[in-house]
Amino acid sequence: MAGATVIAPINDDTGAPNVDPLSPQDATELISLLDQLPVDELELSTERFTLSLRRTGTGWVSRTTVGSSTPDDQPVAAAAVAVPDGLVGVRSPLPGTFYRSPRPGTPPFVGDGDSVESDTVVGLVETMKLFTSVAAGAAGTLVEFCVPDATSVEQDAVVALVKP
Amino acid sequence: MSASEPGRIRRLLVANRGEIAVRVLRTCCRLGIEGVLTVTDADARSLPARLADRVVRVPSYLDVDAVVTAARTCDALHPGYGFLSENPALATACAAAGVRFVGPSAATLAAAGDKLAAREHAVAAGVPVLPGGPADSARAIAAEIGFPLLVKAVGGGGGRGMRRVADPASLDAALDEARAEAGAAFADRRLYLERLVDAGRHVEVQLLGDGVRVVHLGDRDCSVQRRYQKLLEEAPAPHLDARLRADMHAAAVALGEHLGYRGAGTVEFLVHADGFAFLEINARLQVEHPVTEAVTGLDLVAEQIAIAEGQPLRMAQDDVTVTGHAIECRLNAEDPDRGFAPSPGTVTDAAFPAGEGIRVDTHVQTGTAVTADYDSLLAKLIVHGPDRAQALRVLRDALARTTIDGIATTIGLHAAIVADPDFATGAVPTGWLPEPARA
Repeated sequence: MAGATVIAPINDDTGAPNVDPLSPQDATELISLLDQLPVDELELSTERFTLSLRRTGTGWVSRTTVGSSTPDDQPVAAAAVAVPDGLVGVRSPLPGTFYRSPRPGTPPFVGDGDSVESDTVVGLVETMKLFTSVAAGAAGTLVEFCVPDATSVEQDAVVALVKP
Repeated sequence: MSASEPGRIRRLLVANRGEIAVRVLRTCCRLGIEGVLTVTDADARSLPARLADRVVRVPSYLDVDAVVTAARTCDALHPGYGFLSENPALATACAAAGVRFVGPSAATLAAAGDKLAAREHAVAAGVPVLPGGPADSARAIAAEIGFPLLVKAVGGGGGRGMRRVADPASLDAALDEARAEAGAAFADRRLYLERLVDAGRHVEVQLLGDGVRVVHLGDRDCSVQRRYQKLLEEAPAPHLDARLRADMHAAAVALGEHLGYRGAGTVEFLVHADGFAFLEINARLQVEHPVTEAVTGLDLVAEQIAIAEGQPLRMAQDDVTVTGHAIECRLNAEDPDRGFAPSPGTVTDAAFPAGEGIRVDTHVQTGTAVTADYDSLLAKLIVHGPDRAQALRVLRDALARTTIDGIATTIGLHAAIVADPDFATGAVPTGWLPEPARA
């Protein structure tokens, strides 16, 4: 059985179908109505959405929020690693998913104990479908990797340690 | 079971995420169709998840089995763009499950997905192609077409597996790199070579077909690109010779008829000094379809759904009229000052322009987490005016009223493009926007 499970719609505690709270056409019609009135601002708040329309020098600005505007949870990234004295941290240039090999099923770029140059590629970080090489950044011996393969990492996170 | 009955679609699975999921759900709502959405854990709180009538969790948008299982209680499945949208396996699995696939037949998807096969279909339909051929005889083909040339992936587009090769000495290295990249991106290492046209324009023609009849909905210019990916599109393509434009429309329709095309699709062309040449066919709805909707007044998703219901095309070619000019800006989570580096993060404030002639398609609102897991498109700002000059004025003001705070975006770059005198004149070639250094 494939892994598809039905979960409740985020905003639906009544069991009734969700309805698009405000289509772009609705907003345009609302604005043509407001344009005929001495009104520069409209705030509308329902259980399902909030709409704020503000008139500026060049036209209207709209802010719509469906459901809560509380920031979404960000994915939990690997814990920060302290770099011991005498070692250099190899850092991820971008936030994303860190990979040790060029593609699944292929050998890693480098292994623990391998010697590296400053520009040796030790891994890839995938951010928004774009792959960026992670270079050792220092010549020496790659002591160990600090995060497992295919781990979510923050920008500048230490992914490996090099002994110069 | 409702899924196997012909006729109206009452419940549609939207097997996608982001702005296109919101856009397809909006048409469902307008047509009174129940909209069901697949979500991954990362998207469980997304705007489309908040708008859908029902939400089904899947481990990945690329998991054919999970997506088809999610569709079992639906009449039809809309794949959006990207992910599985052009994968013949999904169309075949839908048919086996009694779910209508809102898109072309599996055979058409296979023909369009293999870029060399698509080239051959273009030749068979009498559509001009650039000199080129498969990379297994790279030396001979390179000698025939000359340098610089372009190495391209047979398995897919999006700039992956694509390399510009300046001279014979760098051909082997470019082939190795492109082969590795194509293998990783499309699980297909095959490459082909084509003559490189440096000062060309990317112009494409929108098609609708019902398997019998094919009409075109005019053209779009998508020449403003970075890394072979589109940043800004407009309809119609500015300053195109009337005869050339008509020939391109006719060529696209001829290819559509040759394929017995069913659904919405796009034929991409390169316009060069001596005419035009076929690039590829995209057998799905495209990101930039709203500019065509703006100038034709049609809802392409509604037409796709009608075709999937088995209805004949609801318009004749003469019914299609292009009115005014439309421009779309892709607002991406990328930092143009750092080589378009991706910039995931949390949106702390999202405000968009609104009013006559302005449309914003987005899944972003204040509080949205833009994760590193998916592509960087945040919103599409589409403007429509009576002519290009007026559309540009609306766009300039609209961009000034657009705010997406908390992450780096391409809003400022778009403002600079729109203010540029060359762009204002129109008809810039594909290399016009300087390429960022390759990471």
